[in-house]
Amino acid sequence: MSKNKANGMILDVERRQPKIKLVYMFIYAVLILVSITILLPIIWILLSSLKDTKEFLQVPPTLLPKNWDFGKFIDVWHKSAIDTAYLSTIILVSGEVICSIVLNGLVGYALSRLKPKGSKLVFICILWLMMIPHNLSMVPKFISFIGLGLADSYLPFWMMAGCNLFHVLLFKDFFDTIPKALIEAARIDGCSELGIFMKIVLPLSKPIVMTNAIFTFTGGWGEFLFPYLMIKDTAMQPIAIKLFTLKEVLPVDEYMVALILAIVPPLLVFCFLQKYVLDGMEAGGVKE
Amino acid sequence: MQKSVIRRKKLSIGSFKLTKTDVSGWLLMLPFVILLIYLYILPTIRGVLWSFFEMKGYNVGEFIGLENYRIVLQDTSFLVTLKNTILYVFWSFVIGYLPPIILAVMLNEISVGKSFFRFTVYFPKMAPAIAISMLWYYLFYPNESGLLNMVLGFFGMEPSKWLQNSSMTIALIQVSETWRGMGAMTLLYFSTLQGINRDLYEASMLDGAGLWHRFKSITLPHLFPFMLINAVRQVIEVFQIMEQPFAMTGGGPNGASMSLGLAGYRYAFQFFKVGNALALNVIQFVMLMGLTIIYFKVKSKIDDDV
Repeated sequence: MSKNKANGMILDVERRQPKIKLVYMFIYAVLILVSITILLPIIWILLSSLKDTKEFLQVPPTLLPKNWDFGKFIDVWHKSAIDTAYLSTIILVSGEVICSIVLNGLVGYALSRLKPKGSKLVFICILWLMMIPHNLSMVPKFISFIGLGLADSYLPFWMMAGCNLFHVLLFKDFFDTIPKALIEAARIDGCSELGIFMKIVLPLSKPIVMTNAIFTFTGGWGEFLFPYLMIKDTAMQPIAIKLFTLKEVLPVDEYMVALILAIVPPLLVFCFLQKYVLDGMEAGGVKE
Repeated sequence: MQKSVIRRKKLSIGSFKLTKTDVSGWLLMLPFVILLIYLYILPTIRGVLWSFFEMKGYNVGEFIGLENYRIVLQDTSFLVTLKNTILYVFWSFVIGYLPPIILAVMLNEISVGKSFFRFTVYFPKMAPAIAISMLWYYLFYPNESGLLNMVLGFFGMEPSKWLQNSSMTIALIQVSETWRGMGAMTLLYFSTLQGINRDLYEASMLDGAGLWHRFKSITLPHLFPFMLINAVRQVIEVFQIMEQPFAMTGGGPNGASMSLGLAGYRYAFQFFKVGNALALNVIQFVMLMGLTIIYFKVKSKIDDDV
């Protein structure tokens, strides 16, 4: 079923009725209004970021900045060491993406195709643990990480990414659709289960791997509270924490610049790879 | 031939037999299972256990029974915080529950511009949550340069104090949360709507049913189970809210936006009373477990029906 074809209550034969045309006009009016409420704040910070502090606080406020000062982006970039924050975030997030694909993918594969005795228990555990409140485990988890000497380390985050219950379910659902014959053939050729997963299953699973990578990337890029508690070394702090600490330091117009710099990378990913995000989102929703 | 050779290699421990697939399956799952125990199961058990102990910093001290619970429950702010948390849930429903459903139904009707609108509504969800909180912090900027006060000024109205106004704080935080999360929910409902067989609408039209009637008798009943599940899930999620008030108001003004989650955070990491924090978390956990059980009851009932 094509997603871009209307699939609603209004049927093709009714399209030309005047009453239905009014309904369509109403629908578009609402959707455009919603789009404006979503885009307007983004445009506003873009414009505000180009004003200087005096202009930002000026009464009455200006709509468009008087002088378009793009040099400010470079100033803030250097002054606030956004480059270091970018680099730490990229290291943090790359590790998360690799761990997430390999570890969650393996479990998804085992649950979908190998179904070893007792794996049903793991599956039920996953379903329950997805729903139980996580506030309670935060403090003990923090204490045990600190006890292991993992403060100022990305390892805890890589571990957590490698144990993402939601992604396991997404992987499992996808692997359920891979033809059994392919896997059997590889098994007969003497391939190990790990080999089958790496050489046959993963290459066939580009859509789900992409979806997983994107969600893990954007999730990791925005992760805040736990890194805030665990990573005290400023050179290692990812961008989300940088953003929180900069609030006290930067004047408001420069803060807008930092805000944009923090938002842009995940949004670029979304713009270029939106097919995987939206399809993955919807596939996940149906299964949940 | 060879397949049967593989199948014949069996490990047997007593009468319990494991095939090669069982062994390699568990080997592949091993790292994950260890992490599952270490990151989910163990911390939850410890959290419950340690709430009965006196915690010295991050070390476990003596067993003190319900003392932590007594301290937390007798704190005058407990009831206010509980009430706030319920208010968060309340406002998340008033502001955020219906829009995704309405948007999804509308999105399902149109063909031109569908991808554009799907893209736009989901857009904020991709940005870091903390950035969105900060963005709204500045939209709600209490002097005249905040965007919302600019809009008010445009219509000739007085600037508002927004988040600084303690009776509005929680509702406004939920406005920002709805703005951020609406798209994701819309797409979930949208994909549910894709499952409706269009022949039903056609038959209904031939019977002379108008749009409203079709919505009431076909669309709504189809959506209803998901609406129910999402309602329970929304309560569970919002009841744990912590980061948004942390970033936008710090729980203020005067504790007006303090949630149970944030209060627990402050016990643990600002006052270093880990025992008290855990007791509060356990109280919250118990309240939510009730809801979680309801969630599974509802879900399994719906899965049976489908």
